[in-house]
Amino acid sequence: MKIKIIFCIAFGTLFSNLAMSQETAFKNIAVVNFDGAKRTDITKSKNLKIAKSKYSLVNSLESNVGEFYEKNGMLLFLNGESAELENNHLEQLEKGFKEMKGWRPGDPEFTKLETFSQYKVLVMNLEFEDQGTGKYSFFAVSKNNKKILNGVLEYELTDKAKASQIIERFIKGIKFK
Amino acid sequence: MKKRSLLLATIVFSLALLVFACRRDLNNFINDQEVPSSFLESAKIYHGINAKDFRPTDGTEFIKLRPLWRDSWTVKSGGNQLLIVPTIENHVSNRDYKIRRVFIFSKNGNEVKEGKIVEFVAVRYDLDEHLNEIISNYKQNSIKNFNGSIITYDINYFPESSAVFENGNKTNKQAGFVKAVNLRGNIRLTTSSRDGGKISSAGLLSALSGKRDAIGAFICNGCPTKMEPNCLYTFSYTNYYDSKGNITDTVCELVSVICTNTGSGSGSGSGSGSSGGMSASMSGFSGGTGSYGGNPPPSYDCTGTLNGSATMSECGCIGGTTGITACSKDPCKEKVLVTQKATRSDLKLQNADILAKSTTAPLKEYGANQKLLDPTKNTYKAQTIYTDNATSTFGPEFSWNNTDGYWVGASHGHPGGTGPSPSDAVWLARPLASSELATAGATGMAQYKAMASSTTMTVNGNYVITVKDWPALVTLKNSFDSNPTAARNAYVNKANDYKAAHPSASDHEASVYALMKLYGSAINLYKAAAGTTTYTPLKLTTTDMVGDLACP
Repeated sequence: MKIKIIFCIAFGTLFSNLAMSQETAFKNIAVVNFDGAKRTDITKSKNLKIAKSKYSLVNSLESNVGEFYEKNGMLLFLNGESAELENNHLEQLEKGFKEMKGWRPGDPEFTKLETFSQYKVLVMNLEFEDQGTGKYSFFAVSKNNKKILNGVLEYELTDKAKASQIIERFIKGIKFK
Repeated sequence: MKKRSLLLATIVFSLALLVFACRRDLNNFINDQEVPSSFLESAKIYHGINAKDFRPTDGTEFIKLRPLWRDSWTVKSGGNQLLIVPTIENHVSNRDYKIRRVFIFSKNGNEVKEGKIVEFVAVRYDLDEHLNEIISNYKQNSIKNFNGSIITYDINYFPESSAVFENGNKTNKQAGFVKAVNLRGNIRLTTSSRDGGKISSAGLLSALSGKRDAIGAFICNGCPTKMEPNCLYTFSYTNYYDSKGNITDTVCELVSVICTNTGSGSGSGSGSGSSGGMSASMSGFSGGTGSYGGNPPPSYDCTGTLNGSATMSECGCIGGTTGITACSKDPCKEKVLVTQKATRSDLKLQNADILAKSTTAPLKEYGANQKLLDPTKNTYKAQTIYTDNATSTFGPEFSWNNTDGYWVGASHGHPGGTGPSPSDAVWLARPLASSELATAGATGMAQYKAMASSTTMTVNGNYVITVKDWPALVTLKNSFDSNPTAARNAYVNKANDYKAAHPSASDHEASVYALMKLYGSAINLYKAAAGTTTYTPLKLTTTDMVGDLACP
């Protein structure tokens, strides 16, 4: 009996550690689940194959902001801040990005607006055929419109399905503080 | 030998004298324009019966135009013969204008039944060469290649009708003349033609008072900033109408200035070129028959300043009172021109209308082309606001001719509130490959490059793009055209990059950053706060954000 109890405690602790270790506080904004992605920095990120794309964030981000993570050759960037946001901030963003892209009804959708119980998320996907790469970008806003978390997942077009699953899991795992 | 030479010289001289004295008769004979004496006498009788002396009214003196019977000729028109009798014509200062004024008599049977005074106003058109052709067709709806107006008066010089022709075709516009004089500080106006009653006196008075384009869509080209007290100013004007017959725009053009040192005009004056007529002359300018005093007419610079030193250049009117000393793509200097253009009443109203339409459901981009009536002048052709029925695209329509106008850019609205897009920048490079600009040659190309701009109206502010490096913009345009989707993705991506660094930034801020980052090497970008027309050049700051460029 004792052995069973010890085994259960040990297993529970191990499971708990494995599960909870994926959740990490990002700044004072939210707790997120990195799903095994490894923390890196902008300098090291530049060595990744995905970062050779001329559209990679590492080639244009000039200020030392946010955090970089790497998983399966994909590059994840995360940033966020506290702010006073309009209630329709994400709707405005979606309208603006569609306008910038010259999107017309009937064109393939590249944005998706989702509402969760505690936050809303706008996800958009851009693909760069000449580079063989793509980017999922998301903006998540807390229910009280006081915090915003945004991220970018850069992937090779051959990994698009995997990237889609990663970004979906990541978004669903956001917990605003 | 000497006698023979003397005799020969005498004969040659006599022949020359004969030919010179009879040159008009010879010309009429050769061109089948001979005047039958019966037609001439009948016209004189008609004029004698119908032309009256009217009493002066309102301190003005009536002008009775005198037919110069000896210089008359005939013109055939639709199987009938017209008797053309020239009359007094005044000086025209504006070299773009040619104006002729004649009596035209027509017969019914053997008797003259109708006599009119007709003024032909040609704009950059060889009127003297084609005068008979125009007279022959002056009641028709088309006169080959004619640009200008025809104003018809009765025999007593009271206005009856007017017609404006563009590229040979009669339009629904109306034209006339208005004269202005400064009487002890009070500007008095006298108009001609039936349409004269519709000219905005307030608009012209405002323009003459130095408040350019201050009232409605009233444009005055060459308006003096100061009315000299001893000068008579004559303007040709054209009214533009909408489909309901309402005047939408009025464009005035200074055609002559006649001055005297004393203010009591005497002088005579006739000959070719004239100013348009008015039905009464001003006190102190009696006679109404031509120049006053012996002074040459004063000249006006491109700002309308008397004896000013401003000149037209590849970047517009510079020097003199403009404060602009040289052509430059220095944004701090160019912002003055950008602001001046946006402040024009016609474009300002149009831009406001574009924004209102673009931000009213169902949301679509609305816009209008900006076209000049003349590439050397600052007069814009009235344009229709239209949409391509798309929420995020608008297509301007280039032209470079005197019928459709001279395209110097377009203005359009962005319903989503983002700043100008790459499309809005590369628009400006497309006309460089047009056949019309190629035909216009180096002058036309320079005129286009000097004036081209692209305006974007949004609820978050208004933006104007000008070109600072044409070869660089052509390269960007070629890249854009080779793969528009990639170009747009690159632009959206750059905006996303900005938002990656600034998560709560607005999309209009991010879009302006993206444009500056990707196209800033080729363009100058200016912004005015929403609802205003004072533009400030933008720059990328040292912290990689968009900010105002500080100007001295």
